[in-house]
Amino acid sequence: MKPSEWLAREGRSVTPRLRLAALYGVIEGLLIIAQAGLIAWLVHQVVMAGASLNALLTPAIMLILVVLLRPVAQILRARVSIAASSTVRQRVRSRLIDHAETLGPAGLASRDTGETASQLTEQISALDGYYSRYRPQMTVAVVIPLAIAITAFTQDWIAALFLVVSAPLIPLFMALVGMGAERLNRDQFESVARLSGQFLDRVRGLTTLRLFGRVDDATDGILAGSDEYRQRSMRVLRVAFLSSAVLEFFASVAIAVIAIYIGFGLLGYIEFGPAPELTLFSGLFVLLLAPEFFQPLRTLAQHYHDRATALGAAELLMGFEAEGETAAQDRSETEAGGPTACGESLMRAAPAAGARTPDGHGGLRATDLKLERPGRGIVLEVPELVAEPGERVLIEGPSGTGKTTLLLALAGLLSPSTGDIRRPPLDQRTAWLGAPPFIASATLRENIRLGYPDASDDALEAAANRAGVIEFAERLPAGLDTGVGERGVGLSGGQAQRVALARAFVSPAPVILLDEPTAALDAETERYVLDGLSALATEGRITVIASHDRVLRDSAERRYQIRHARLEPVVDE
Amino acid sequence: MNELRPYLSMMRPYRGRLLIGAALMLVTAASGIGLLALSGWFITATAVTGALLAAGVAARLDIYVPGGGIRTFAVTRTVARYFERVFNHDVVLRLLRDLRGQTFSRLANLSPGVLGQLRSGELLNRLTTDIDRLDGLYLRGLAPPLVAGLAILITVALLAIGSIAVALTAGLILMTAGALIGVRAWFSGQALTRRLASANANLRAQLVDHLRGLTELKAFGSVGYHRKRVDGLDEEERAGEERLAIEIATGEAILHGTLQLVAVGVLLTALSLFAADRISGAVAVMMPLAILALLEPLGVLPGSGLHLARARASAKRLDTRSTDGTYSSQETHPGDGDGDGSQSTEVTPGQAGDIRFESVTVRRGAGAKVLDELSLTVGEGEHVGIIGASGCGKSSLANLLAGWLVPDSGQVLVEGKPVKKQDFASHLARLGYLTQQTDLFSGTIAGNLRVACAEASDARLWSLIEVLALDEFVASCPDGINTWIGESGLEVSGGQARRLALGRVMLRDAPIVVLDEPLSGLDEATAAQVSSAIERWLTGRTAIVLGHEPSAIPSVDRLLQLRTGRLARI
Repeated sequence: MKPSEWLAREGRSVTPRLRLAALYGVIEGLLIIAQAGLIAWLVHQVVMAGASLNALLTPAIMLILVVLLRPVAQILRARVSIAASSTVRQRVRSRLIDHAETLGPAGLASRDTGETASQLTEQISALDGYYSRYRPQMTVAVVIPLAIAITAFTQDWIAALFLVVSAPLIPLFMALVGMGAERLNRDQFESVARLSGQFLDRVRGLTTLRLFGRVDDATDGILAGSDEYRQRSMRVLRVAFLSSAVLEFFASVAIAVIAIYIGFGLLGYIEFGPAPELTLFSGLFVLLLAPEFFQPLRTLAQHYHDRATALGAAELLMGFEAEGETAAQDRSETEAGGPTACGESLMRAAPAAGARTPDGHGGLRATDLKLERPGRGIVLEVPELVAEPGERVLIEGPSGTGKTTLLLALAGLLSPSTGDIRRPPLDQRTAWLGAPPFIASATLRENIRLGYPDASDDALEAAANRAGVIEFAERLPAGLDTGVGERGVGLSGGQAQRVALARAFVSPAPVILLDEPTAALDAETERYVLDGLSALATEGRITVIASHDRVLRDSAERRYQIRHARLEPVVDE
Repeated sequence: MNELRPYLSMMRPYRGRLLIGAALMLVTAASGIGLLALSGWFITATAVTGALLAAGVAARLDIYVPGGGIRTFAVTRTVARYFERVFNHDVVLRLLRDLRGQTFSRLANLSPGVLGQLRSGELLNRLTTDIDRLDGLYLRGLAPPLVAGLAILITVALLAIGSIAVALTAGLILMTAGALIGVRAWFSGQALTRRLASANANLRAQLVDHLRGLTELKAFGSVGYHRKRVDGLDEEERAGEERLAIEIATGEAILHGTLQLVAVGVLLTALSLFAADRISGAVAVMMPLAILALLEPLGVLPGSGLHLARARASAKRLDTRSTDGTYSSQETHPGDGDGDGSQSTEVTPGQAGDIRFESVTVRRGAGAKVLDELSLTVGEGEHVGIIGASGCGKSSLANLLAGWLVPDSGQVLVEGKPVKKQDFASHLARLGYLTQQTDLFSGTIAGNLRVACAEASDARLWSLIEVLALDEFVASCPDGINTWIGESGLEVSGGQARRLALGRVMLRDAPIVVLDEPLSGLDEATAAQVSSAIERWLTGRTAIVLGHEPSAIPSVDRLLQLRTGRLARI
């Protein structure tokens, strides 16, 4: 699908509203014709026919009415099209967030989160102009010039011919100029992008530049780069502006030619065609219509960059969506053709499958897994992994060997290429303590609640206390209601880990997965984590810990290690 | 408007260009007015003359001057518009250059804490938006009202041919309407943009959370719960955008309506003046047409009011961002930089001085002590390792030494001199500091290393690359050390980036060294190799090495633990 088709498809849901907006635009255009006619009529009656203004009260009042109605049509059109655009954006955003959720952490791993978030905010906002301005104007730009040409024909066909002949030339010239601009654009695009990225790059590295005393050099570099950017951009712009100059030229010349033709006709210098019948009314009417003939086209040209912006955004958004599609395709292919069904679909059927777990009451068991990461191929093979309720299972291995991948698969967030995972029946929820733990920009309380949105305040506070969150929250201005995360109070690694632990406490999830939980902790937090793990185990929950920290060895009931991309059980010495 | 003052003064050097640009805009507007007004005058005059001729009355009309005028206006309007756009965009891009340069030097004076935050995508993103908005300050914010005012004056002059009273009345109404609508756009624009900006930032932050926390949210089964918040903010953001768009559209519609009404009023008045034989028919037609031609220069006023409001908000943000640094500007010298820094000084062991922390206390946020009466002496040539959990104040220690953080009490001395009294540039020149964050620039591998020492020879870089176990990687790169890395270049792993940053510090050859987590992101084997390279390089230098566990740093003379703001022997 091309970006333009994508834009059209997204607009389909609001077609009636876009048509209504265009209708208001057309009504405004018809009012313009009426206004021109009334002005010409009044002038003709007074100047040529010598009528007194008092006798012309009706057309005068009609003129005032027309003039008052025009802004009304304008406002109505704006409101309808703005609302339509908002609806489109809401639908696209909602669908793409759904997509991101389906892709899951494994599917999103290769993307920069900030970049994805900016696509879902800015790029979707960039679609606005296309729907709220460009699309309705497309209709208006066809209908109104046509209506004006027909009106002009009724007055003087030669004058109308000037308009009609110049109209098809405009897109032709614009296309010619546009093609040149596009080629220039393509040639310059990469270097321009590189130059504009240079500024951000230097800002990001300012600390280093300062340390090495290179700030002044960098400033000079930015100035020189910006100058180069200007020169390259101007090369593109000089051509790009030509296209609007073409329109401008035709509009101006048409007015001039028509004025001179009508003037000579009125003087009686032109004796062929309709010229001898010209009156001040018909002459002035056509003259007033001439600029309005081009106005909708000029407006469309102004909105053309809305279209270009939207196309650029659409391409990015389509790329994001396609990622989802290929992943979904892969999955359905494995589901259909693979010897075993993928983990996710099996987990959906978990209650039935759960009956076949080793001891019959809800352990975690993975057999013959092959785990794949996009672009990395098979990263880990798991012949067998067993975890009984109340057991703490430790998975050891150097970083980068697939520990996190295994945890993702156990949580059902990554479908294994082959093999199956059986989880405790009934409850598919999993408590997850990541490395580093995820802290949302929200209050401490809300952060803990993410583990179990239905938790009561009492349960929540009890969990916070058990995990040692209360201990540091007490010193914060608003206690548990203090905002934390990127836009609030910064938490240390240990504090964040305690919040994550509280989340696990408050959650009823039967399986708890921990990724390097003790990597950078102070002794106190480490004790909280270790005590917490044993408390969770006595509750009968299954704990799987991926870590290379020796401290955890003593408290694990079962151990595995990753060697040569295989998970092997460790037998105690 | 105060916030915009620095940006207005930035335009001063371009006064000449800006005037030419504005003049071109005016010529365009004037040609448009002239074209329509003269055409109306011309055909009415020809109609009247034609009627007289037909009636057999001897009449004469000069058709060549107005005909030529019409053709000239038609051409000048096109040509002036084209050159106006080319010229003004060139000026805008020149202003952008200065704006970037100035913003950059102002940001360079920020405290490292604030600088650290600047790495986040959201702030960087907003920074570019803000700069973009300010670069349009002149073209989209200031020039349109100016040109609109002048265009009204031209129209008034044309109307005055017919009637001075009508000219003044129409001019006054148009000026007032334009000003009222522009000012209204400016005020409501400020309120609406402020609301929209915060709605935008909230939505973005919530979305980042939603994506970053997807593992947790999905695992815990609380995606739907968090999604509701995202959807609520999306609603708020779009409502803000809608309100702003409607506000502008309404302003434009009202302005258009006013203009048309004035034109009709002028038409009716002019016709009655004609009926009273006070003016000719041609002038009576020219007058309303001159008003109608104002649509183009006046129509953009609501937009420009909004643009000014946005530019002001952007200026305010840029301003607060670059003034909340913790150290005063006197600590940075204009010459803070080139020369001094890049000159490597030959160091002999005896030259490295000592480092002393004398009961240093640093408080953060709500009064929590990060460092509590901490004292430490690192002798000449001694290497001290400090171990501590993340967030325990290790980086504060390093920043104190760099002079970026000023202790709440106590003092830090390097080579016997208090850090805060030293000249900033020469102090940094004697310091080799590997920050916790790795900063790589998009550029070549060699260029990234030469940040530390511009004159370093290729051979020197290669020996460094070998020492850091990067030789295999660099040799495999298409252009060796001249391979482009970073954005739109080859991607390097965290461990490779770390080693390049370390290489930079080693190239620096400073007598006082601080390494913050030098081995982060390295696998065991590489860490061991790099570790011994660091040990060899540190000989003869006074060094503090920071890490989260003993295995995270090379071997040192003395190993201390930082806990609850104090140091203890391990």
